[in-house]
This record gives sequence, C-alpha cells and structure tokens, in this order.
Amino acid sequence: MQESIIDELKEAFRVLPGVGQKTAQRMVLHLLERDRRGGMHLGQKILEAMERVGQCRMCRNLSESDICAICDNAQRDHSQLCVVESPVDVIAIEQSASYRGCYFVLMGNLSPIDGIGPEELGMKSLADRCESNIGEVILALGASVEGEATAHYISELLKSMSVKVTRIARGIPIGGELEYVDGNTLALALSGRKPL
Amino acid sequence: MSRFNDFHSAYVLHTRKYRDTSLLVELFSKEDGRYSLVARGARGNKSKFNLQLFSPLMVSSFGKGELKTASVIESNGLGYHLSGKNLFIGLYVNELLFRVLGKFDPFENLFDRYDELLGMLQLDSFDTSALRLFEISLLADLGYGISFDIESSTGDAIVPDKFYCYVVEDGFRHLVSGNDNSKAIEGRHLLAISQGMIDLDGDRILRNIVRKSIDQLLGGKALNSRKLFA
Ligand SMILES: [Zn+2]
Repeated sequence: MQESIIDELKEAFRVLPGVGQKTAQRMVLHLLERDRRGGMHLGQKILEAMERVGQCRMCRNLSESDICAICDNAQRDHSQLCVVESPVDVIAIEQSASYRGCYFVLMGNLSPIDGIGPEELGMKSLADRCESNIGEVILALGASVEGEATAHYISELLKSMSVKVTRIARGIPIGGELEYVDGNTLALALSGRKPL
Repeated sequence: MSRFNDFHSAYVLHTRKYRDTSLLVELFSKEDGRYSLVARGARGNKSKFNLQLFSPLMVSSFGKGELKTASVIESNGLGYHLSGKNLFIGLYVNELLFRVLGKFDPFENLFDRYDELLGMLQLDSFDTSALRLFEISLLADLGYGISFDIESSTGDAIVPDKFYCYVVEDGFRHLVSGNDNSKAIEGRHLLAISQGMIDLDGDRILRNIVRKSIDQLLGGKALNSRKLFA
C-alpha cells in the first residue's frame, strides 16, 4: 500500500519531543477535522522559522538577524559576558531579571565521545571576543562532569588574557531545607561560602 | 556472559539523551566488559539512578537483546572527583575504552586498573607515567603488546646506545643511521621503559608509540578528546 499524506504527516509530527504515535495521530486528526486554518498557519510558521532563524554572529544564540537583540542593545553592559550551554539558559537568566550583560551560547558542552570538541562550541570566537573590551566572563554552566570540563577548558583558554573569569555559585535552593539537599551540592555550597 | 539480572560492578563511560526522559548509558563493567543500557526516566528530577562519571556503581539490568534496560543502578562507594587537566585525562580514558573495547568482552584486570587510575587522577600530583602504563597494558590486553627490550626483526636484546624506530604491530627495529632520523629512539630509553622507569623522555616516547598504536587500532579515526589537550 502506498503511504498516504496523512501517514506521512503523522510520522513528521514525531520529530517533536514527547510526541509518540498516538499523540501524533491525535494532532493530525485534530488539524484535519477541526482546525484547517490553524494547520495552515502552523505549517507556514514552521517553514518561516526554519528558514529565517539562524545564529547571532556575536553570541551564537538563535536569532533572526545577524546580530541578536541582546547583543545589539546599547543599554546592556558589553564588558560582561555570561557563557551558557544553550538558548534555554539565556531565557532562564533573562527571566530572572538579574543580569544586564551579554551572553555567549556554546550550544552544548565538551563531550568527546559525542564528537563535541572546542571547535563545535565556538571556543575560537569566544577567545576572539575576549580580546576586546571584555572585563569579566561569567561561566554559568551545568554542574555535570561535562560542564566542569567545559569550564576548565574556557578558564585555560582565557588565562593569558586580561579578562576575569568567574563562575556562578552553586548551593541551596531558596526555600530548600538542608536535609533534602544532596551531599554533592551541600559540599559545593560549603566550599563556596562567603563572609557575612 | 554472566546473567544480566545479577549485579555488576561498573563505571559509566558516557551518557546520552534517549527519548524524552531516558538516558542511553555506556557502561564498563567488571563482569561483562562494555555494553549499553537504557536508564528509563533517568532525566527526571526524581530519578532513582545514579549515573555520575567516575563513580563506582552496582548495576543490574534485563533484556534479551544487545541493548539492556537498567533495573537498578546504585553507587558502590565514593566517586572520584577529577578536576582540571586530570578531568580531561579521565574523559580521554573513557573515550579510549568506549572506542577500543568490543561489546560484552570482559577484562577484569583492566577494570581494576581503571579504578586504580581514577584514584590517582584525583590527586593534583598525578604523574602521567601512570597513564602511559595504563595505555600500554590496555594495548597488551587487546593483543597489541609491545616488547621494549627486544629488537623485533632479529629477536636480539635492545642495546643502550643503538637507535631504533617503532613499527605498529611489529615492535622496535634497529636503525643503522639513527642520529639524523626524527623517529629514532635511543635504546637506553626503551630499556628504562621496560623496567618501568619512565622519565620525561620516556613519557614523550611512550605517548608517540601509544598514539600510533591506538590510531592504527581505530583505523585512523582520531580520538576526539585529544583536542582537549591542544
Ligand atoms: Zn547575540
């Protein structure tokens, strides 16, 4: 039997995270039965986004323009660079409204077995960026072994430059009780203590 | 192959996202060597699995095919905390084992040596000669053993003041005009290595030899972690 367009569409929906066979079928039937206009709109927007969204030339974050809105904003502190793993981290930090500097998005962590090395993470452009007018690089990477390795690589990379490299503190969540915090986190929180 | 619902002593070599909430785990176990398993739900906040690299684990799994499913993964002692350059070395060793070990091919001694190496890597004073010895013994386990005290074409003993070159899968060959050959190695360095004495020269020589052998073993596909040391 020849594969129908309906089957092809169901299969296509499965590229989305969390969408299995059943869910894909429900989505396809919903669009075909109840919301043709919504379906057209969705298709169009997906096409547009896939074609138009690239990466910012300065920070590597997803961006429609050559330089993203954050990098292009003169109100932001361009001497501070916060290094994160992925675009979702930028969103999280922006929502916290606690940071006014710029970003550098690695789009991953060092992971030799997956073939992700310094080149894939744009280390060279990070180093180039730090050559000019950057006073502080803030590493906001995950607390995994790979995050640790990435942080070490960056600190070595920037060692010879006159840029200060810092790392965000790790510790107890607000409202968290000590007894429920895991041992590793507690150890890091203890070693990173500050005078009051 | 031991039964898979038994507990295995193991280390995680690597994890990768798998489906929505799971992880695909590459394990190195004492009893069954390297194999992969799926840890269901391992990416959730309330995961019951401990999947830290460089932490000794007890693992049990089920499944008939090559890809197992984890039933229990728990820590079996304190994990090693590697940092700085030693962390890169740890990642290099993990990639090395991942790439060269066949699936379900157990190497119990190698497992113990890996455990020992991690213990040493935890120290700031780590001496790279321990890494070289680990690599050499790994190559020997895989059938690429190297004799450092014998000339390979004649079987003669290596002579301290003669020059030799290394040929992969063969050994050390005598070089008549050694002085002007960049690959030439003086016999006395090889003899020192054969006695387990590795100084700076020995370390450099071993690094080249090991690298050549591993490259050959991997069919010329270089290890990615080498880029970390550039
Ligand atoms: Zn940008």
